[in-house]
Amino acid sequence: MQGRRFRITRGFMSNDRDIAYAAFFCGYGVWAFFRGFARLRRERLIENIPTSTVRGLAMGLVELIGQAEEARLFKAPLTDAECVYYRYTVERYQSSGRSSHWVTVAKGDSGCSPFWLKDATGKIMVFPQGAEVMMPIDYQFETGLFASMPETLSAFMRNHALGCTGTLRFKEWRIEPEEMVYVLGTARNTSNPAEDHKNKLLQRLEALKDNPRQMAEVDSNKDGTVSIEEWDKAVNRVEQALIEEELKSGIENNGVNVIIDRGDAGEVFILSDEDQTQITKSLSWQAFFGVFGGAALSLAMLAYLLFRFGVWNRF
Amino acid sequence: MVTVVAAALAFLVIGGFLYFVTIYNGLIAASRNIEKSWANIDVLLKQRHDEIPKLVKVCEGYMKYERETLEKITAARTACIQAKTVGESSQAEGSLAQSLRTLFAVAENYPDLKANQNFSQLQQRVSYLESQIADRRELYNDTINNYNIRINEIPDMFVAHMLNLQPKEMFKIAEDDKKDADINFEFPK
Repeated sequence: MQGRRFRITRGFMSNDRDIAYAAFFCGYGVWAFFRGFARLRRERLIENIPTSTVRGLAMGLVELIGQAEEARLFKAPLTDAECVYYRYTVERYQSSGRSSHWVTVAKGDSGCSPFWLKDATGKIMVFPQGAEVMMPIDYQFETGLFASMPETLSAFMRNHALGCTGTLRFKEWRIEPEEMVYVLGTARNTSNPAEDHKNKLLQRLEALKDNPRQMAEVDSNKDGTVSIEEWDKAVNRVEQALIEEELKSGIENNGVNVIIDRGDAGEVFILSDEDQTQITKSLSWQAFFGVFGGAALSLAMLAYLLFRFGVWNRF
Repeated sequence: MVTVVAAALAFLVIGGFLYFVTIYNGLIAASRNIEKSWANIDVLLKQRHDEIPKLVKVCEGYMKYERETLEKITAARTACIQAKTVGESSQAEGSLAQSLRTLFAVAENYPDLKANQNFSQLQQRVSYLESQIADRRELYNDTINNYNIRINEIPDMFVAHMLNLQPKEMFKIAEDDKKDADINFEFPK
């Protein structure tokens, strides 16, 4: 019996790399299809859960809307704007051979530092670490021929020992004091203050270790290594700041230690400065494009692969 | 060609199945949220019941001539604990809330009682609990409303019909509880 023979037809790339791209995007389309349904489930979850008040909230998954109030005020790293939460990325446009793309050269956020969420009935502390942040970009800047870098960005690049060569793109997301915030997270009672304190301290020390700029500040004698004494001083400073926050939190909460965070089981945790309608609309579009766009992309790439292998009419 | 058509059909079937599962799970979650929010009201009602005996004990020493008011509160609390159905529970809770409002209004006439720190703390605690209960009742009604809208929207209504899901009633205040509190001052003869 004669075996089948695949005749690879000529594609638009001379070295057949288009086959790899087509296979990749076919798989990407399948992923986007299933992710679209995940976005749909997320949208329906948000729609199903009614908004609670701070005073009336029950332990467990809860949805709150209120104003952000600082427990600790930050200066956003790219814009120097005052905020209670920030996240940023810095990307560089890199070309290698025939391909070019954006590469992230720096990113960060305000870590596990909490902020207050206040509504008409009271306020509660929100620990944003691990949250899915669904916010529009508050600041974006791209360097180019006619755009010179603002001083805040130049200072940022210098402080992080990053070169200013090439085309750079800066993005910043932030929550400012008094800004309306949407939170869908887990309300829980921190009934074991000692255990909670220890966990928070460990989280902050891990965040410190992961931040090269802050570690450089810990190295007070600038010899390139952090000695035991320097590390002990850093731990004391972090713990002191944590204790001050906890004391303030205890007083503000009338001694009741209820917080909003991701929860132990890795439950849904969403943070946004948009209102619920905008969030669900955005998720709805993501679901639509994911499901239909993903399916269409997959089918189109499958058809292309069949054509490239010359078996379009056979299978 | 046939492969592409088969893949398109596969997407359609899997997509249809996933969409059905998403709607089904959403309706089940909405239904369970109602039970959860009702149970969360009960948690606060229980806390309120636990505070009542302490409140009555503090008041007894000062409000010797308000026996009827204090007895009403004790009776209302007992009725709440013994209530078996949702209707009985709602009525009993309403009576209890009414009795508490009367007690706090009458307490205004007893400056020594008002100055008592225990009474003051208990009054604040019970008032705060009343506010929390009100918030959770509103949340319960919001949950019911979301559910009722959901089971009447297209395409959820088809799955809701399949599951035989019926609209649920919101929490309503009894007519008697909407009236102003009847305050009787019993002055010593």
